Amino acid sequence: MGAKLTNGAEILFRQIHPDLIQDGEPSSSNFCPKESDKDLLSVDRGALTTPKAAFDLFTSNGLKSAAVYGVSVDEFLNHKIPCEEDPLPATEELKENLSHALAIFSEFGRSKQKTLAKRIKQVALARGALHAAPVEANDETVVDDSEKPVAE
Amino acid sequence: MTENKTFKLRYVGARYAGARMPVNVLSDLPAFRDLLVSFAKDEWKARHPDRLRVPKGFDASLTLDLTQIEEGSARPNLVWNRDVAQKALPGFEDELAEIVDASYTDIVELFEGVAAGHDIPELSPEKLRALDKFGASLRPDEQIELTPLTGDNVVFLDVARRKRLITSVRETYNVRLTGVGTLASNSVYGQVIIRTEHGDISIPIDPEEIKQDFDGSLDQSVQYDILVEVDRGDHIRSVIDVYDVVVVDASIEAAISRAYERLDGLAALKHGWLDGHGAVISDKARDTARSFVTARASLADTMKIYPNEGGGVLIELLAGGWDMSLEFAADGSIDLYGIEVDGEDEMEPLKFGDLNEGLLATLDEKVRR
Repeated sequence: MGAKLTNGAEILFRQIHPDLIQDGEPSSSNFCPKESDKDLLSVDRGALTTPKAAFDLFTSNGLKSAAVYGVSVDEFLNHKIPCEEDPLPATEELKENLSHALAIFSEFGRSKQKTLAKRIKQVALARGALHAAPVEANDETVVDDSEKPVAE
Repeated sequence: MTENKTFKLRYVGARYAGARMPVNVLSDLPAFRDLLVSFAKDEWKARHPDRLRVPKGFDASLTLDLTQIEEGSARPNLVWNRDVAQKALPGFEDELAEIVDASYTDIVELFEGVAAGHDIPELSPEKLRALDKFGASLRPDEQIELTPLTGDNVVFLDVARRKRLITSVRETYNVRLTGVGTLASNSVYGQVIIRTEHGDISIPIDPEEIKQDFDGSLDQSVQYDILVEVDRGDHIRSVIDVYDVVVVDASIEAAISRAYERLDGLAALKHGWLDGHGAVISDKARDTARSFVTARASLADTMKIYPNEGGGVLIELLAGGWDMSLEFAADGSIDLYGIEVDGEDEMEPLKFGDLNEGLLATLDEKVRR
């Protein structure tokens, strides 16, 4: 287990898959751990990276992203979802990601996780996309490409 | 003693999921009964070659009652009631029971013959009238199945077989067309021309109605539900009956079209679409989701549609202060859940076996607006 994230204002970045966003609105499933994720949602720490750098690293590993949305540590905690650091060393397939962290949904069953994901999506949507893939790479994506503050 | 007889037609297609029978399809049932009666008259005459006509009360003795609609997709149960027959034609109920069986078998054999490409037997005007109505509302991906009284070789009627059946003995056949077109012109003399995917259709409308509802609406979307006479080349010869022609809110139509397109687009996703995970989106999930869009067309402009990792479809919509999700699984079942946007209330996932009234009522309770 990594250390708990304690700076409530720190923004955590979540990558949005291109097929899971329509007209600029990500699905709530983007904010819910998949069954294979074992109740853990992957995010990147705003204290250690930027939305664009997180996007670039993610996509350079061959994974797809259309946009980056943000949720603060406090916003997770408001729903009793703690977050902890989880830096990833380089592997044969993936580059090192020292800013990686986890939002931990394990206190809740699968059904509750789905409604929590909808709450988390709401706060992420209210903040807006922090980074979007270049338009030529994905027509579905949303906003400007500028950096936004990573902490409030 | 012979008991009542139950005939189960089976309607197959997405819009029949959950034992639903669209009301414009219900006109098939009296048409089926008319077809059965027509064959029954032939059977009677064959059994009584000395008689030119059927006895008084014969028609009334062949009443069919719709008693229930079972699931799978929709199976209306049509019951021939022995007591009713006994009252209409006393003393003949045993023979009538045999005639009803034989007539049903005649219908099954007629459809089997079409399926096998056999020559179609001569059909009386009465039978053609019934066939012109029976199955007229079928869509290309739908069929009506009939199970023989003995054996289990189900025979079905679909658009192509119905066309072949009727046009083998007549140049035209009738089809019920529903859809949305564009108002191309309207005349105070009592007709509107709707531009549709089937070409321009001239539809007779009362001049007063044209004045009230169509004037000033050129190029607007028009929803139509009409019975047309079509030739073997699928060209519309004439409009036989008009059930509904109305100028509609184009934004709703556009939202429905966008939703349909989005669902169609999900079919292109290949295995592994979700960064190596993600199953192919099942036809069943897409069909059920499409039926939902149709069933709640007024909400189509609020719907966002996504694939699900397990080969299902996720529809999310914001209405009535609720943010709702419907997960259409690959097996056709549906999870419904949501949260109150400006409150604490929430609904954890409720599972429904298919798209049914219970699900729609539960959703409506939350999002009614």
